[in-house]
Amino acid sequence: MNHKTVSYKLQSVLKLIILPVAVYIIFEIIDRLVTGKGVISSKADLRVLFRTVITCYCFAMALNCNLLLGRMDLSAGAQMFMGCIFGGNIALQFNLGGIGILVLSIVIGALCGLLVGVIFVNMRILPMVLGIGMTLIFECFSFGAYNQQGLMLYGKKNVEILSNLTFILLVAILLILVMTFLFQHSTFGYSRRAIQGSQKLAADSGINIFKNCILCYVLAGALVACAGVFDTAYKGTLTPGLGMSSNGSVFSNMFPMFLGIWLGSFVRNPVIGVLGGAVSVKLLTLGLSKLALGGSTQNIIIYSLFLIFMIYRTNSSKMEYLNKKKVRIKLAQETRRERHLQIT
Amino acid sequence: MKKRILALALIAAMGFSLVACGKRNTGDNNTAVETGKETTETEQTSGTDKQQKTPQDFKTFKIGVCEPQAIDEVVIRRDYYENYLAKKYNVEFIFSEQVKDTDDELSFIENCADLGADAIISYRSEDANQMVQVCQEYGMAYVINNQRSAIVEEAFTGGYENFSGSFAADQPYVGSLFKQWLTNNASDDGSEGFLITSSLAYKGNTQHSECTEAVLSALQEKYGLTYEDTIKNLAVVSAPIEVANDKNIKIYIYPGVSSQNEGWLAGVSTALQTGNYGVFIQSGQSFTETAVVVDEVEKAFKKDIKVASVAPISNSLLNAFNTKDSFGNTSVNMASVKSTSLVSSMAFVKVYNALTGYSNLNVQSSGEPSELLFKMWAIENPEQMDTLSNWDVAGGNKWIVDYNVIDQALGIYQPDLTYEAIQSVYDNVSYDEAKSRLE
Repeated sequence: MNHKTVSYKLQSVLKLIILPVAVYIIFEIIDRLVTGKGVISSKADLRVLFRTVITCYCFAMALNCNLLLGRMDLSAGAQMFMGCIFGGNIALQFNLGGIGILVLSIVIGALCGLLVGVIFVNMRILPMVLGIGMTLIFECFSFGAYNQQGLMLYGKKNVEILSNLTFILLVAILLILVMTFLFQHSTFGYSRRAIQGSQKLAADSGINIFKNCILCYVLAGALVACAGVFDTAYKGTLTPGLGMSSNGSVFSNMFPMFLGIWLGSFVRNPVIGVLGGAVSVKLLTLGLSKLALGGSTQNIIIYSLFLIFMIYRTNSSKMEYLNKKKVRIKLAQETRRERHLQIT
Repeated sequence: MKKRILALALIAAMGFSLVACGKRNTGDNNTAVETGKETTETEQTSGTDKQQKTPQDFKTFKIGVCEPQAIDEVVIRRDYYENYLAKKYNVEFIFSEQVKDTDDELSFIENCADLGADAIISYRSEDANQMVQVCQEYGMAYVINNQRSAIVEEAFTGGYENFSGSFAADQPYVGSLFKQWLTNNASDDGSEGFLITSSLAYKGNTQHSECTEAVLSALQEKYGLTYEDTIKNLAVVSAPIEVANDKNIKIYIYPGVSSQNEGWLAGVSTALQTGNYGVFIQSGQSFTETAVVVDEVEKAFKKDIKVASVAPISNSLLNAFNTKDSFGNTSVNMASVKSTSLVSSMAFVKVYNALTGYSNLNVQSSGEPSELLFKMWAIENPEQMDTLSNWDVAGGNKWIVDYNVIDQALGIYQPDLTYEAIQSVYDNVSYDEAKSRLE
């Protein structure tokens, strides 16, 4: 099949958007039947959706940077705390406004990612073990700093821009463009995909896998910090915790990430795919919250769907094989019938 | 062979050293208990003719403070204990990290015992029945921050000599603050609708359930409502419900908290966005998390939403009163606040009286350990908040419960004191009284 034909491209785009659209339609119908109002019934709903999508998208992309290369970075949540708490508070001290908070948080998040990356490539500790250790360290730092107050944006002047719909949209577009360039059109992206295929072959072919690894960690740190800023702007405050409480963010964003990778395979662009995954999951969450279900019930539904999706993805090759087998058997039976008819 | 012998010898050495340490510690603790008892007996036998003692006449008591949360209040309390009370009353405090579960609390108590602590103040009471026994084994006085209820009943009735009772918010009084506010601020016909976050009432949190019950009761009284279920049952629902009533006034109960329920904030936003609720009452401390949502709904629907919440005296509450919404009103209309020094001093007074031989002050007339109750204050305007924000500040010098108040509640200064008199001392600490004393 010619991948450059318009029809193929259209098909790919349709496959990408069909899931978020389907989620929206299904919940629009259910919500209207149950509550009389749709999934998005006001500007405030749209604002909530945009905010939560960008937060989820950033986090899922951060996970995507490392997870598919065999590195489960459990310290992503703690890096978010570090970036937001230190970057945000420094920006507030110097009256740098909402943009200053965002930029400084991203910088400090990236530095935390750099630290984790450098330790990983030099110490060769297992990524998960390193992630746990760094989580504990980062959580202690973010907890001890600023009198355990974390980052408070509620009631602060000049941070309203972080809640502005237009600004959120602009940041989202900028992120998509930057990530698409990095992942699809840059040497970093090509090397990353090569390493994803086979680390040994990539290394043998001259790719510096250590540099690429560090860059992935830096990018992940920057992205989670960005997610944290918008989340804090929505919730008003980011309170640090101890005891690996920051890991919750890592696990809760895995569903959008895996879903996004699958969607991205249709358009051969994981960046757009993860966006589709984030939109789908957040529409699902919004739709469920409209039904006034308890929090636990919502979680059961969401994580059950995650489990079903993962079972499907893990066994999709078997299903494909079975389908192809059916097609072959059918073809063989038809051929046999035709030959029999010819003979008779 | 040599290696095996060496390994066996090392194992034996380790075993002996562990046993020896345990015996040594137990011995020390027993000594501490005996010293405490001797002090108590001496004080009791000397009776009315004893001379007034000062804190310096006693040894330096060590008091462990077990904290389950990492919030502003903990920081303020630490400063109050370490930098204000410790020097004057000749005590040392040992602070825990965030204690999340039974194991954490046990470890902390054991560490305190190793450090020679004489008492434990626990702000985590889920396992009080077990911890009081552990403290008794180590010879440490024990006091908890919880209203007397089923989950801690065994601590009260088990006959534990080391148990100095509890201290807690006067929950019915907290509820009455919300009741009073609703009576004064809700409309005559209830048409604005009421959204109540019951927070962790469904998990047994007394403050949250009392608050929710009080609000439902206030609405019932004001509008003459008949609910289809009892107020107690409604307050502890675990899923959001519209409270059915005979006058079809919109009352929505939304349980959970943002930190424990993913999607909680989205659910609150959804409820507010129906435009059906003009009064938002929060039994838990969630006004900072919901502030943005409330503001957006106010702008979208051009509707002023009145917010009343339980809150700590903190920068976030100060911000809330100094932040105006799109209608020019403060973003929180009423906050039910508690003074950190008030709560913390109650705990200190209880253990200090126990350690200085006045454990009778921790016992009610029925013979059971007593419960000290503190009243929260209703703050309804920025001026009150501005004044309050200068009190009970970490690093500051204006404590709502200062030495004058504490000395009135200590047996060493007031030998004829009673448990009821101590309660009166704390009942007299109000906003106006504190203002006259501190300003």
